[in-house]
Amino acid sequence: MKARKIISIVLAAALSLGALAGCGRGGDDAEKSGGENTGGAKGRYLETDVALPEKTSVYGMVKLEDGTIRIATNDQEGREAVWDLAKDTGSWEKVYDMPEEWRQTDTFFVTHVALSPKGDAFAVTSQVMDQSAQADENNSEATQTKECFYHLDGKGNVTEVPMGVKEYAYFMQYAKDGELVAQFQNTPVSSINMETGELTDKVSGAERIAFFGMAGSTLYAVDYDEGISVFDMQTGDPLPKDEGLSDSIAQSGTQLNIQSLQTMPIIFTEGKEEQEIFYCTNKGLYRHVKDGNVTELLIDGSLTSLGSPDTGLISMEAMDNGEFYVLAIDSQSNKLLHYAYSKDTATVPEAELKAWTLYENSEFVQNISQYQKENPETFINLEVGVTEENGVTASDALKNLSTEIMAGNGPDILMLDGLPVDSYVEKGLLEDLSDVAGRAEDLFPNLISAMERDGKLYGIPLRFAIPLIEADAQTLEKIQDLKSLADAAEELKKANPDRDVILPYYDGALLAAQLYDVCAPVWVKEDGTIEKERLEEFYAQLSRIFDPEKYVEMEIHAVNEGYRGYVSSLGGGNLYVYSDKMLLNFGNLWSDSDFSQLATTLAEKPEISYKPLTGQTEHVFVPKTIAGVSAKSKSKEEAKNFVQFLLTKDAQTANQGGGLPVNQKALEDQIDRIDAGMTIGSGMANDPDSYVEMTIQKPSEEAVKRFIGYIQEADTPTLNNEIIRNAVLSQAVDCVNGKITPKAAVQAVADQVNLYLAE
Amino acid sequence: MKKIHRRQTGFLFVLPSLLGVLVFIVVPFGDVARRSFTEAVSGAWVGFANYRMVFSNTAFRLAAGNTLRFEGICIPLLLALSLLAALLLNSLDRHMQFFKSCFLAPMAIPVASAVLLWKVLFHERGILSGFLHMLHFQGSDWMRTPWAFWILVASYIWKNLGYNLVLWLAGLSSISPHLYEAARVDGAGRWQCFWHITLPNLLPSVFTISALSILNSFKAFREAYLAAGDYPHESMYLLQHLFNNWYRDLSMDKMAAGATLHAGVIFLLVLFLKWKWDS
Repeated sequence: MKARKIISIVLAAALSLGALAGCGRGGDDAEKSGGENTGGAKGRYLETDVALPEKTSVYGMVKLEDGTIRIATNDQEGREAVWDLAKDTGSWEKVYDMPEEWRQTDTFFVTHVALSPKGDAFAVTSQVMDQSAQADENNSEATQTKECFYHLDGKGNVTEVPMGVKEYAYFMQYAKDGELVAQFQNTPVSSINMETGELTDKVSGAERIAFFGMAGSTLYAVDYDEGISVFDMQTGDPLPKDEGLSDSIAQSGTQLNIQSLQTMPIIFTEGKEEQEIFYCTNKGLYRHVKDGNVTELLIDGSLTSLGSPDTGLISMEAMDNGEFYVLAIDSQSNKLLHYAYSKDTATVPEAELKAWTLYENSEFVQNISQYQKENPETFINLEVGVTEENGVTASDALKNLSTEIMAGNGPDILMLDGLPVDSYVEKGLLEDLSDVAGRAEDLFPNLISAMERDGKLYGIPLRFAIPLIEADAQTLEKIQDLKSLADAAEELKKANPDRDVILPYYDGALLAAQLYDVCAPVWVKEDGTIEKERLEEFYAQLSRIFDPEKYVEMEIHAVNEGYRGYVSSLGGGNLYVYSDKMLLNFGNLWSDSDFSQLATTLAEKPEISYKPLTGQTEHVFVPKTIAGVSAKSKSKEEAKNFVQFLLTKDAQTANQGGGLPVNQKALEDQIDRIDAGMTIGSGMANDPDSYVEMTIQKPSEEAVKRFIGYIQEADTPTLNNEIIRNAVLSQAVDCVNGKITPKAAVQAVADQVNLYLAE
Repeated sequence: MKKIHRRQTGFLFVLPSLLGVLVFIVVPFGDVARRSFTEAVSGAWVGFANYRMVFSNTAFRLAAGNTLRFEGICIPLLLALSLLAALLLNSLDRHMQFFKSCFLAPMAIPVASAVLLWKVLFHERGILSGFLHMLHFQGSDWMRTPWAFWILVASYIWKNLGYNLVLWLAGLSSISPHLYEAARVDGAGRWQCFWHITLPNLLPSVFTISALSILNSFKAFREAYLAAGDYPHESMYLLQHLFNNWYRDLSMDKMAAGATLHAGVIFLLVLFLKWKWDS
């Protein structure tokens, strides 16, 4: 009996302890974080920009045998030159100019310059031979170019290399022993003989190489499946796969698919030690010992410009003193990034700000890189709710965010797009940012004040779009609201039975998407229910504008959000108005690119005009990337400083297609940098006659002034609510095709949306 | 003295699960109840304001109504159908195990598969609409019509019938066959045997089966959520939908008040059943 009692007590105690074992507050985590806690450890590579020779773009960079950094450039006047970075002064000293006859023109340009560590160089020039054929046929294949190849010695003396190759040169790079290795279109990686121009296969047994890199005696070839093959530079024989290297690249999440012929997703260079190599990706700069299992992250990409989504890598050099130079390019210009070890800087930035965004946002990531570069003591820890990798739904991501906020681990900075802002404001979660907006310079004040609620500013839009309409001036004058827009569309249909009034590729949903933003602000009543009469009018007018006889079904079965966003923008139809294929174009103007098309149309077609689109309400704009600061944040002031930085011209100039900047100076700067002379075209794959193209013109001062004036009139933010937007768009197709009445469509929307609004 | 020792030993055996319930259910629920009287983010005391807000919320009233309707229809229906099936199976001499397994099979089907089945059957271009189309009737996206509620009811019955059937069979097997033999000798018919022997002897099982059925009924939300998302047709919009959405929107105050009310109603219901059973 006693034994049974003892057993029962022991069992009960064991079970109790077992049940409570999981109750410790992150015992393992605490231990782990304790282990990783740098505890004030010092030492980190810091990034600085090396100013390049003024107004130049860079072909390539090399470290000469004496340790001097050399670059080859092209200046604004089209002249090429070679420069050395003086070790003592840190300034650029011109070594030589390339020949005057190489000056860039519309038909002649230098496509590649490879620099040798021994001081000589190799250049490729391209001459357009048959421009008339190009102009006549609009056919790029008709263009004939002649490529010439030149060797330049250390003083710039030029010798033509008689190469017979007719293919386009992709990549070329000098090895440390002075051998030039190149990759031409449809040609294996080859070595070029400078005297005979003969190409010799550099590596054996390699197929489908996308690009290559070299580090000391090893050549790394990356194939189109993102696999890395290793070759001996001397013999060209394949070497055993460097599993440690491949694993570390894969684990870092680096994508090795090549996006352009100018930049590479990974670049290599050798170290001082025999087996030591360095490689650099957007994830950071790493040290690896050949065939070793360990790879060391020397420079964290997320703390530097390397992690910025607009940074493209060109080449890198490791210096004997442990410093690095990385030649890169961002959305604006080349950058020469210098990394030097600072033993007094905290290994991990001491201050951390947590930022949260529902969807990936390239401009925001770029801004974070910029901010961290300027503030190395601060780390912005960005969490993205919905990514391609995590497969989380928006709803689940928001629940995760709620959990973090309630647990006291919520973010300091929130991008409010797609978030339940009303609820957050009601709960007092968002900080008033009026002071931040007040301190920021050059913002469009109307766009900021329009976001105020009860005199407080809980979210500041960093980007925006503006709904516009373009048509012939007479028609435009008649269009004052949604009804008169439908009247005008019907009139145009009658008067021009053979022409398209609106884009024929737009179904009801896409047409509704074009008009949603200028109508939605009046659809929700103060009591939180749907204003059925206004929504019914929307569907009724939409049905009048839509022309089922002209509609051409697109062979696209999965019209995703991104595509819908593109076609519902003004830019989607601009080319068709420009080429007289369409009479009315309306939608949101999202980018400087959209504006450049609009301005070109206006400059070349005096009969065409444009103005802000008025639907069921007027002066609408579409706020995007709305920044908020958590009132629960322990680093409120730092978070506000970061938001203020996001509003500066420097940060606002970041341009990844996410909308127009709210900083007027940044917008003017973007417009000023519009690439005049660029030709754009568009057409449907199933309709060859639909192809149209336009050569972009620089917008005139008058055009810019008019555009800015329209922006300054906008004072009504649209209803940024995806649940309502999706419900409205989902009924539009059946409604415009007459399958359901506007009233039935409204009822269906109300059924879907009222539950949400009632909550 | 011996009795006291036995009680202590029994208590020690119960202690682990009791602690588990306390730590993982009672204490968190106490926190939820506390939060129902405070603001969501600031934690400031607001008295009954959250309850007033919840009662005036039309979405809560709709969801509570739907949940009550669902329980009111599903529980009696499930109890009756499962009892009927159990009686039929109990009367079978052969193949009883086979049919029992058939009834239990839906429980083994993963929720995701069941949801896929829903979609295949009830989508606008699904099997049901296709079949109706063959008969020259109009199809529909059934999950977006008032039929959605009945699809949910059918799904719940289909999924849980086997479980209740097993419970009823256990109750039936505990009734002594001698009682039936004696009754038949006295001239009782089938109905009289059921009414005067089976049913009274099954009464002790009714409380357990009812309570389990009620608790299982809340799992029907999984299917409804996976099939129709955050905002299903309003006829199948249940309290869990609302709580889920309130949680998403950080409306912890409303959610806490709603959950406390919900738990209170279930608690009272279980007490009522227990009282009826005890009496």
